[in-house]
Amino acid sequence: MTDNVTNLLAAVDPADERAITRFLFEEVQVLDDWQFAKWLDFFHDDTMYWAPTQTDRYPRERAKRISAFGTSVYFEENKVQLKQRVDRLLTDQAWGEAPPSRARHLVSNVRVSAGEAEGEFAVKSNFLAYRSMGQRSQDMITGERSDKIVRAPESEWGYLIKERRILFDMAGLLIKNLTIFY
Amino acid sequence: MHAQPHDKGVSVTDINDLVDLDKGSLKGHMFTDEDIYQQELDKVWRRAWCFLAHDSMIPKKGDFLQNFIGEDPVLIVRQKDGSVKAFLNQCRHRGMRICRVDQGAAKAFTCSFHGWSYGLDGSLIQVPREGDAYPDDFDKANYPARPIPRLTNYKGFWFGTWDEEAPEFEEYLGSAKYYLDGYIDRWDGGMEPIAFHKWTLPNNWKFMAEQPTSDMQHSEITHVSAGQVLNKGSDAADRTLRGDNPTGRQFFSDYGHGGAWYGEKGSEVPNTGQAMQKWEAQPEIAEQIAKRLGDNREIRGHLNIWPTFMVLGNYTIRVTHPRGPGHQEIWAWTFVPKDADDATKDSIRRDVMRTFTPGGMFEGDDALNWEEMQEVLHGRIARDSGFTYQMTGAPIQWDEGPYPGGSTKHVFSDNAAINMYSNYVDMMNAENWDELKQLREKHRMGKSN
Repeated sequence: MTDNVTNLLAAVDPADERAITRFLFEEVQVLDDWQFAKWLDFFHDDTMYWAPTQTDRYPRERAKRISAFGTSVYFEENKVQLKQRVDRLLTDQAWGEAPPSRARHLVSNVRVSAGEAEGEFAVKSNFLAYRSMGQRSQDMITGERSDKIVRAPESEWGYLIKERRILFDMAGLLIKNLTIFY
Repeated sequence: MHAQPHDKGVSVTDINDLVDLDKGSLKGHMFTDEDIYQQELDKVWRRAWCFLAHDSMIPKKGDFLQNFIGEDPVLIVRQKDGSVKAFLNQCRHRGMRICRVDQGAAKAFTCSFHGWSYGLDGSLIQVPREGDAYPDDFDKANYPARPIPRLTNYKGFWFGTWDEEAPEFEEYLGSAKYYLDGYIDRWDGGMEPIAFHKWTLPNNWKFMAEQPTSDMQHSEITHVSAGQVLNKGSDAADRTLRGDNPTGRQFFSDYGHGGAWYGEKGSEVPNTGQAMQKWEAQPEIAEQIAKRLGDNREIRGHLNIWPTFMVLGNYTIRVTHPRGPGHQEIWAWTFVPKDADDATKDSIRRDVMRTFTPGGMFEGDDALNWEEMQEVLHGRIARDSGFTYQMTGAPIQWDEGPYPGGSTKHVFSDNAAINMYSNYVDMMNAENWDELKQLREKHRMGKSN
């Protein structure tokens, strides 16, 4: 397991920290408003959006609990592939989301650290995604996002997501599908 | 999270009141009733051959996997001598789960309640305080974890049944052997799983079992959006190659198995990713397949071995577990040919992930259908109105060409579903396997005996 505590010495300019936090809040607002085409604009053209699975293991085998990139994942999408998922929802015939669910993403515990290169940031945050469908169906899933965010003057927000790893907290998922984004 | 009140609305216990296969009608009760469900655990799940593990999931001694037969947790363990044993994951002392992880490597399994300890073969090897607090005649040999009495390794896949009287696995497969082999016995190097997904759905297990057995037609409607974005520019099979009025064939077997594929003999359209098709087209691989199968066997669309061992042409291979009448778990592995190059394996993995996993662009729409069907059945009137199985226009053929057993010359047909439910009803009615065999012979569809 990687150490999840962010390095305080790698703290960044408070202006970047404020702007990136706001960037993440705007991103989930766009998601919850079903503006998926606009949501894609938050991602770098060379992005990777992925989500490992988890299994229950003995404490001594804990390192094997989270699957590696390129193995058991829920998502492993470059921007073109992410756009295919968006395009599907926008056909209005993606029945799992038609009529659309009502989702609310809560993003918290945002920690912005300096990344590996100039203009690059390692950003951790937690999320809770609640979803209501029809009259009686509702579900909820929590997790952690590990984002690599880069400074990008060409972006409306000044930043773009270069990589996102979504770690869902459930091992066997207790929600019926992952038809929205996290 | 999902509201699912325990269904006690109607007391119905006789499956024969709910099914009229001559009229192609099933009543919704059979998907909601707790009494029916308890009968299923005994008469279906305790008697059927169920998938447990693949050899490559437990390669080394002490490697184990937890799985389920129905609602019963079982451990499948590689022994020191390379053999495999499987037993109920329940302590013989106070009934605690002996092992509480999904998989791993172990020297023994020690219950975390009072410390009873079991060997890799399930025998009870240690009882704390045996020396000073138990009587002298207490004998550990009397308390092994309950072994699954019948195990078989079919081409790398382990199946087990609790029923000592069940027929041999190949007899249980019947004509389905030809079709299952067409998926899993193609390559000299065998297969291996490279990804795994597990999730829970709020629907009766039979809704899903029916789909790879018999229902190819839903794909045209349910999955229309996925086809639109994935037919080009993805790892998936190009489903437009099936044509607007697709041909194909559906098979069914005595003990409820079924499946179907697209296209005519010699010009089949497999539901197999592009990388796999390319890899198999190489002369040395094509030769291997022809040699192993003995014919040009392209039957890869979807298939279910009753009750819930499912194979799709893109190589998601899965088992589902019932969780009460209104819920199920899906355990899905992505399999690849062991000898394939890394790029081919990775393409198969990505294709399955993006189509048939919880975030998959096909799977998410299936989940919605089954949830809604289950939800509607909260209604008293809804439970009593029949579901319709009348898509039987194409005739049943027997041992037609290379295709053993019963099959229908159309990719869209309810015949395999009707056969599946006919077997289900016979299992629920039969007192034992001898009786079941007689009933199945009597109810064989489209064939005068």
